[in-house]
Amino acid sequence: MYPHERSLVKAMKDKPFALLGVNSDSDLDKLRPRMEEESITWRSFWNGPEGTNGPISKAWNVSGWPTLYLIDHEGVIRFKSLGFDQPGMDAAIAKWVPIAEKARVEDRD
Amino acid sequence: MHRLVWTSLLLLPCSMLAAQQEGSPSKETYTQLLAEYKTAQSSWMTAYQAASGAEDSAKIEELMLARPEASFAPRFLAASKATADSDAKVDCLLWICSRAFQSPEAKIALASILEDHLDSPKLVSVIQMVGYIDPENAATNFDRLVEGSSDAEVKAQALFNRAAFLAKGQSDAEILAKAKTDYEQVIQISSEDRLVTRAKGAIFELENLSIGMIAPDIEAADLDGVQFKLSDYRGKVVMLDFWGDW
Repeated sequence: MYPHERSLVKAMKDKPFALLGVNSDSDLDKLRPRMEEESITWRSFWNGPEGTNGPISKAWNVSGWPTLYLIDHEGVIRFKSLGFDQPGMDAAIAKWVPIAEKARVEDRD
Repeated sequence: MHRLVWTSLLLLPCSMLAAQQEGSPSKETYTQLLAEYKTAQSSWMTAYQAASGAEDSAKIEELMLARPEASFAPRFLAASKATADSDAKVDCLLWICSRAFQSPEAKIALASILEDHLDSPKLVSVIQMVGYIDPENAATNFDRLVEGSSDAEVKAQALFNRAAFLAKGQSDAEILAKAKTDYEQVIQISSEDRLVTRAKGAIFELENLSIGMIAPDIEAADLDGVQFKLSDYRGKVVMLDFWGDW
């Protein structure tokens, strides 16, 4: 999934889009060199020392990894998938990023 | 060695076909077949690991097309027809549905379970495969399990899976309400703590995390210890990825 995420971040660099993670690794010292290796530059919340039993995944009822949500520019959930449904996510991003761009332009006017 | 595994697997369906054409019923029992499958599966795995270690992609592809499950599915199906023991019949059919769910026999096995063995308490293990085996008829098949089984745990599993199937990708309030009713029934009838907890979580998710709802805010530290909020990103489309490096 990392290669796809890296190219997504690159392609969306100038768009109203952000990839945010909720990381569920319990040991951050082990994770850091891996992030460097994989060029994971996007920001993540940390789910805490309990790993997959941490408070954020609990609050979001996450039962499998990865779980993905797409949230629009107004904070509304527009797509979700347990596991990486790449075609579904790509379609949702292609639909909602232009809407966010349009809203941004209208705000400026 | 690899060639041998490959050839013997290829021959199995042919010999079965010959036996069926002669009209001689299979004398293989579930227990025998299971033992034989385990041996075949472990030889296959050895061959696969060797090919994968040698990065022999042609061999890997060849092995992927000759998985033992595919050749054992018709034999388990024949065994289910040949035996008079209803328990053994169900075991054969369940093996096909769980281990060979992508085989053409899986649809036949599932249909046979729903037709003749709806009351078996063993069905619990197969319900989560129903949507994969026959996606077009998943809704109807879940209905048959919910309505037809007298076993509380089978019914509860069927309700849970029907609800998840209904709710997937949905924002329609009426459909989501129907899914919620199913989850509530799971909580009432199941004695499995794990399933009850999952049903409660699913109801929470329906009520707070459905498509079309405002995402609950997250306020926590990032991996460098800097506190931030999900709502800091309003104005941008956010792909939120629950991930781990494992």
